[in-house]
Order: sequence, then C-alpha cells, then structure tokens
Amino acid sequence: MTTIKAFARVLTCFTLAACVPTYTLVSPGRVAVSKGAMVVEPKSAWNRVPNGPQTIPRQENWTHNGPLLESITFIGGLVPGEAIAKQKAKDDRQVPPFRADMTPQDLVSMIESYYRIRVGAAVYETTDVRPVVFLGQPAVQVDFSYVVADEVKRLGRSKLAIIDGKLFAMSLDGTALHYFADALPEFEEIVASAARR
Amino acid sequence: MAGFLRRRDVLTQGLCGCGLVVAGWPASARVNPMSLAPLVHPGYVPADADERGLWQQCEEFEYELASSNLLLQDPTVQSYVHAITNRLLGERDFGIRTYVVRDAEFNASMFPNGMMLVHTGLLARMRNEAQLAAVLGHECGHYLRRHSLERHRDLKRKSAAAAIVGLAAAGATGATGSNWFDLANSINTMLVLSVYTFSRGQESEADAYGLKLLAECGYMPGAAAAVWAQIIAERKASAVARKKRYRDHSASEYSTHPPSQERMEDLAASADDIASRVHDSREFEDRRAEWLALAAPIRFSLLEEQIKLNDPGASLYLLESLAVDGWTGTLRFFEGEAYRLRGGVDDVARATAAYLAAVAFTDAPPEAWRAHGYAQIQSGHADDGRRALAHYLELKPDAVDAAMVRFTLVQ
Repeated sequence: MTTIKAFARVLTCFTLAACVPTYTLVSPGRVAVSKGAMVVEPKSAWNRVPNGPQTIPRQENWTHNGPLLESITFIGGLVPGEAIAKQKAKDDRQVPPFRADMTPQDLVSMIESYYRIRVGAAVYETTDVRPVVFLGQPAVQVDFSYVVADEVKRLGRSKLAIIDGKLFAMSLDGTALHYFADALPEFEEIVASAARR
Repeated sequence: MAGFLRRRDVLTQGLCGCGLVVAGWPASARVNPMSLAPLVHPGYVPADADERGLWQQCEEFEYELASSNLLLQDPTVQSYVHAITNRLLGERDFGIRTYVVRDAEFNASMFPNGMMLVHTGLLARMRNEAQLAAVLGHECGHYLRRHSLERHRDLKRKSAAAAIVGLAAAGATGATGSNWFDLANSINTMLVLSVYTFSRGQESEADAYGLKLLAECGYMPGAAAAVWAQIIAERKASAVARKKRYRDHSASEYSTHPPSQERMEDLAASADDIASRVHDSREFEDRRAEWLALAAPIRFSLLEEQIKLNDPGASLYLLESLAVDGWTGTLRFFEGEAYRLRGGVDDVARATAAYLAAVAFTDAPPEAWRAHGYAQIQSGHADDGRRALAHYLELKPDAVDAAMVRFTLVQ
C-alpha cells in the first residue's frame, strides 16, 4: 500500500511538472518558427517562451533575459480574418483582424491597437515607418515606443509583409534602457536570415 | 513591475475614484448638497497614526509621479485643471494638487493626502469646463469629507471581524462539520457587502458636495448629470456595437458606486433644486469657449487614445456627442478612423466618406489627407489618392511615415 502511495505521489509530481509551461532552448543554427511557417538562423542561443493563454497559434516568442526586458515575436502565415491577438467576438476592444488588402497605415494602426489594447500601453508613439524587404518581399517596418503601468519606457520594431494574402511578421520589443538596443543587431540578423518554408 | 498601477493598488484602501462604475444605490435618500460642510480645514495635517501612515504612502507615490512617464507633459493643461480646482474651492486653500495622467479610461481619483489624478480619457469626454469642474468637484468632495480615512478605518475594522469569524469557524470544524465554514462565509459576505455599501454612500455624498462647489462658483449645476448621461449612453453604444446587453456594473450589490442611472437622476434633481433656490440675477455658466480653446491643441491626441482602442460603439458615440458643438476636420477624420478599424461590412465606404468630409474642412489634420489618399487608392481613384498623399507630405514633410508614403507614391 505504501509503495502504491509513493508511486502515485511520484506520478503526480511528474504529471504536474509536465503541465507547467517551461522555457526551451533555441540553439544557434537553422530553426523553424511559427509552426514551421518560417525558418531563421540565430547566431546565439535564445529561450523559447512557453505559450500562454494570450498566445495565438501562429505565434512564437523568444527572449534572452526575460520577456519583460526583451523579446522577439514571430507570426507566420496569418490568414485574413485572424488577428495578431487572441480575442473574443464580444470583447469591447478588439485588435483589427488582418486583411490581405491592408495598407501601410492599416498595418501601423493594427500594431498600435495591439499595444494599446492587449499590452495596456497608456502612452504609445509610432516613431518611424519605412519600406523594407522582408522574406524577399516588399514590407513595412514600424518603429514605436510605449509605456505601460510599470512606467518603464520600451521600444519596438516590427517588420510586416503580406505574401500570398497572408501576414508574416517579426517584432523586437525591449526596454529603452539597454535591452532593445542590445538585441537590435541580432534581431536584424535573424530577420535577414528569415525565409518562408 | 512595482509601477504606477501597482502602487495605486497598494493605496486602494484609501483612494476614492469617480470611476465609470458609479452612481445610484439602493433605498438611499438623496443627499442635500447644502447640508454638507467640509471636515478638513485649510492647512489640515493628519490627525493620528492611521492618517499619518496613509499620507506617508501617498507622499511617496506623489514624489515618484512627478517624474513618471505617464504624467501628461503639458504644463498648460496641468495648470488649467489645477486652476479649475482652485476656482471650485474659492478662497480656501485646502492644498489639493491635481495631476493629469495619460490613461484613456474615463476616471479621476482622490488620494487621502489631497492628491488628485485626472485621466486624459476624462478630458477626452468633456464638452465644457463645467462638466470637468463637476468631476473635479466630486473628487474634492471625497477629500473635504475625509472619505478615504473613513473607508480605511471601516475596512480595517471589518477585516479584523472577518478574521475572527474565520478563526472561530476553523476551530469548530472538527466537531460540527463544514456548516461553520458556510456560516463564516456567509457572515464574511455580509461584511464585504457592507464595506462596499459604505463606499457607495460616500460616492453619493461626494456627488452632492461636488454639486455644491459647482453651484457656489457659478458653474451650471446640470453639468454633473450631463456627464453621467453621456457616460451611460456611451456604455450602451459600446454594448450595442458588440451585440451585447448593456450592464451597469455599478448596479451590482458589490459595486463601490451607486448605479449610474440613479446617480444621474439624483444629480439632475439636486441641480434643479439648487437652480430654483437662486433668486439673485446671477447666471450659471458652462465656460464652453474656455474649454474648447484649451482642448483644441490636445483634442487630436485625446481622441487618438480612444479611437485606437477600437471600441467602435463608444468611439462613434463620443465623436457624435462632441460634434453636437459642430463637426470639425479632426472629428470627421477620427470618425473615418473608427470605421476603418472596425472593418465591418460597408465600413470601407463609410471611412472613405468620412475622410472625404474631413479634408473639406480647413482645420483637417494632415493625417486626414493621408487617410483620404489611401482610401482613394483603394477605391480605384489612384490619381486622387496620390494627390492627397502628396498634399500630406507638403503639410507634414517630416512625418514619421514620410518614407513609406513616398514609396507608395512611386508604386
């Protein structure tokens, strides 16, 4: 009886441990992201952030020092009607869903709405919007700054391309003090290495 | 994350907010505004250890707020709001300080030490100075009647009582099963309920006090009820747009505020009483012109905060309520933005029409020309669209998206 109880306790521990979301290592080298929608080649090791209740299926997040300090987000192959945030039809405030005919200003305001609604940015400012090449296609680069309830100023850069009617995006987000600038060169290298699968 | 809101949470026990979930409480008599007198005096200092502790927490928060990224960096607006508070209090210097903070929610809050936070979301919804004064007067009422301290002590007393009931129940469990827990839970529920009921009474008293201050310095007393009428209508519009039933969260037994409809009706009735008692030739004023002059330079950013939240029912109601004083290029532009973000059937056409209407105004913001340009290109009028985008660049050559717009022009 004692053996069975001990075994049950061990089994329970393993089951609980299996349920707890854990960070996983992303080694340098070619790696598929966003459920295989894109392939990138980081030059350093990153931590893959476990999916939370707000993570959409086509999303993947990496960090070096923790998501509050800096993170890279990949979204691959979002189809029209889907949003870059998980939300319900009856939510009062909703991030505009993706449309294949979105103009640059639509993409810029989609990012702003995401930060204001889902991240809780009380202060948000778009600081630069310019054309770039991403995944070998014409794309939009959006730079922004924002402040949430912790009062820390953060910076962000998003690269967004609409390819074959689907949205592909990569974003870097980090504190204005040190972490964003520190991660930016490697973010750009990862962007440059990105390819669709 | 020991930031702004977290610190505010720490202070919640002693904080009184006007909040959206406000107004109306069951079986309550309307408070006579003229029966209320201040419980503090100019130069007031904390009277005992309880109050000193509360003030100390608030002072630390206030010190950090002065350098916060969330503080609105606009000395003109900060001074204007503070001047209204001073006008409400007249010759009496109670040492109340106001701080306008960036937050799109309709709210203002008073701390125990006389520090008042005013959200930009509140400013976005005001149609005249009297409406703003009504909310500021309400918050002053909390301070002058020492509601924070009263509430803090009440919570402390009831928290202790709840702990004793819980302890007794835990000791008795072995002998009597779980019924004691059920009993303890029901008693605690009653205590919690009474805690919130207590606060609801304070809200009504603060409403009445605010009305008294409003009338004493010549603002239209009806402005207070008008604010609540607008807020209720906005919440209903928001619910309808998302195909939901409107629920007044403040009508719940657990709400800290009286139900909105009841609050509005009480304020309107008291305003009528006050107006009928004024026998001199004095006329109440709403100081709309002063407010519009102040709001004009910041209206774009105030509305942008709200519109980008993509709550189309609330946004469109807000724009229409402001347009009662006349449509402007800025209002039409944001109407187009609300439709564009909503993205429903026919919204592209609605947005296109709104942008077209916006650029017909001489005060249209440059962004209206950009939006008009993209809308025209999308609707097949590429030449018109390019002309509009080029005009946007003429108006705002250093725009943050100038490179992107130039790229669009050569496509």
